[in-house]
Amino acid sequence: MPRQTLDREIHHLQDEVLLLGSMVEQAMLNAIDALKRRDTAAAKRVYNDDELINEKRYAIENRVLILFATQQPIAHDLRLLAAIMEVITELERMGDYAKGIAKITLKIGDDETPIPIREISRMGDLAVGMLHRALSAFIAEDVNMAHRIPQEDDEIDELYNQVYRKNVAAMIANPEIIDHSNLIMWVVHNIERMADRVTNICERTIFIATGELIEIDDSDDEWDDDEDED
Amino acid sequence: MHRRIRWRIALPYIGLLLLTLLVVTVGTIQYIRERETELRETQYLNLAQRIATEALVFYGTVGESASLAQIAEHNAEILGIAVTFLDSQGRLLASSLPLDEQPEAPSQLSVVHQARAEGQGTDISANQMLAAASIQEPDGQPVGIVLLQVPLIDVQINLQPIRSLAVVVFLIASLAVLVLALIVWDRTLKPIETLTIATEQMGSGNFKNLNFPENPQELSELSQALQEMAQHLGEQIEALSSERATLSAVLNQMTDGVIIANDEGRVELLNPAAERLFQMDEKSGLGRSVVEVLRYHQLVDLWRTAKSGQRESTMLEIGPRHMFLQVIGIPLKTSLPGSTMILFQDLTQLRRLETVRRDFISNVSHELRTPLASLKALAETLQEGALEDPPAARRFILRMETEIDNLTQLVNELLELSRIESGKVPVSFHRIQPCDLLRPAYERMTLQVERAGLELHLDCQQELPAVFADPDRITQVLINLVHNAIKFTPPGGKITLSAYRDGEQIVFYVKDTGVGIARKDLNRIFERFYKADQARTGGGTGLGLSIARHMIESHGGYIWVESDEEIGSTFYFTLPIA
Repeated sequence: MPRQTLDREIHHLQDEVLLLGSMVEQAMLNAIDALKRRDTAAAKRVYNDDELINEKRYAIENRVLILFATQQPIAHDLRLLAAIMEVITELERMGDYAKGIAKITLKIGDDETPIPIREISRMGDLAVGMLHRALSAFIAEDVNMAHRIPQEDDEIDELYNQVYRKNVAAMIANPEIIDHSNLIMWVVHNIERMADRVTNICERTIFIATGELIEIDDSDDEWDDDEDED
Repeated sequence: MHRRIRWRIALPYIGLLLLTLLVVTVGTIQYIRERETELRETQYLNLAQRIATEALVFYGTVGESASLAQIAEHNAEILGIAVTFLDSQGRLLASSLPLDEQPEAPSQLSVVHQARAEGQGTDISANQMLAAASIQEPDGQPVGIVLLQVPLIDVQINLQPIRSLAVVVFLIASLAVLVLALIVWDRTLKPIETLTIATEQMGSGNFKNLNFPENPQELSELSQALQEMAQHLGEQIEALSSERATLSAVLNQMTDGVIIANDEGRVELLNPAAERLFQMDEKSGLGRSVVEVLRYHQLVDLWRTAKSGQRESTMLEIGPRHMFLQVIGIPLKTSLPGSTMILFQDLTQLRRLETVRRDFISNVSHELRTPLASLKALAETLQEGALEDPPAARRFILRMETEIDNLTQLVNELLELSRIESGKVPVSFHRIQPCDLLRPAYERMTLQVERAGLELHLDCQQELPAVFADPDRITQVLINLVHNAIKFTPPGGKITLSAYRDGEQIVFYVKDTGVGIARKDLNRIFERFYKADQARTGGGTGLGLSIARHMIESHGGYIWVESDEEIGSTFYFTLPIA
């Protein structure tokens, strides 16, 4: 009897996770776009809309808890629901990164100091693309895809290093822009962290399909131990 | 299976017929038996009457008993039966039977009662038939009774031969019935079988070359009706499938994406354009939830609005691919109740072109403004007193001339580009050796290259086949490329001009040992006004490579670049062999 209810509810929850993911993707793209155009109004919107992401995350969490309590899922279903709990946390955190970028845009205001926007846009597109496909793999429980996606952040790391070098050079040349450069470093850091969190979603995908919790090695994060709360 | 139908229909009929036959046979035998018995009864009653008439004269006479005994014995002997005479009270007078076999108390017999009451009577017991008749005076006064005892074997005929005959007749009749039934049913069922096969074929979608029975009359009418139905159905299905083919051709070929979702939010139709837009093939997309296919919450919101019965249209940019979509959600109220259609028009390319145009105008303005501003400054300086200082004035005039040259070059190149782009540049094609294209460029650039402290090499194989090209234009392109190479190669470097054959075309290249081009710029350097290094605004208009690309493409070739930062770049272009 409850089997069908559980199936239907799980499908619904998967849809909700995708919608939450879409909101996060859009928030990140909008935040970067607002930064690119120095559009404080748009940044303010992204900043405020983070509340919607948080609400949706808690709504999903609630439903999962109700399912745990009423349906006593086992095996695959249990893993899936547990993974959903994990994934929505990751998504909410990514939403916070977008919010952080919006906050930086508000801080920068109409300061005309150049921003390496080409690199930032590219990083954002790559990270959001990774998230998009990671969620596809999560829903399809595609283990191969989940293994492949984390490898893609090489270009993001490369761009991160480029921006870092440019910033350092600019700060040396003109110490007056240290504050500004620092903010830019936070922007690229947020994007880079977002890509790292995509890896966590991929790990959960593998967990649902195989029942194994493994750590995908993304080798190049020297500062991976930071628990960046912003 | 058809065989089974036949037997299912045939068996009850055969059974029924055999049962009828059996009942008729048994009934007939019974009837014959009863009829025969009745006949005998009448016969023996008549006999009894005759004996009664014979015996009447002896009643009341002196030797009554002896005379009657004599008659009794006489008749018994002739007829093989027992004859007994009783008086009117039923008392025994004389009998042909021996004493111990004579009936005891004959007056108690029911036949005797009958005879006394009605004049005659019969009775059949276990082993004999009794027939009694009253003996009467002519005036009706009864004087006695004659009683005949007939062994049953004489009364009841022997049924054995009749029975045997009946069994034989029954068997023959049954056989005949069976054979006849089979023949009849075969003739009746065969057409039905044919009809069954025909309708089965219709069911599986075959409406052509069906075999319909023509007999019997009733079935032929049914066949005709079915045949007409098959024809109509065939035509309708053909019409429907051709309509369907047309519709699916439209759906498959149209550039707009179409998705239809049902009431439960499952995708029921997904055309190839939509598959491309959402990177989801039809197989994996069909039957999935709208959310899984659309993925973007803005699109899902639009779908929900349309699902609630309200047509909705919006334009938005989504995803990391920055797709710019016009989306229309349409509730399919009448044609497919509960379903919703979503149309996607991909305007990404259009918007990109719009951006390119906007950038172009802003670039042109920018490029024009810089020399104009310095001209303005130089003119003002002259006005403000530099005229009084002739050597300085001359210097300023020279700089003004340079600026004007730059402006002229820019305007010329813009004109050239727009003429090439609109196909208005006359190109006169000739068969020409690749070396004859490379050499003029080499000769004209040698001096400039040396002045920049570089080496220029010409590496040309005479045996290369001729190409089909406009020599002036191609030389111009090569000069352009060498110009670029000079700009981006530090002193001491080397520039090589050469060509080689690749299949049906000749590949020309200009190789330098310069600073190279960053990977991110590689795809864009052929765009108008694109300058890889924004810092070097002084170097050229940014139109040279764009012009080169258009020129080569109008020759049916293509141009590309390979480059390693800090190692150098090589520009290649192809021309078809004549």
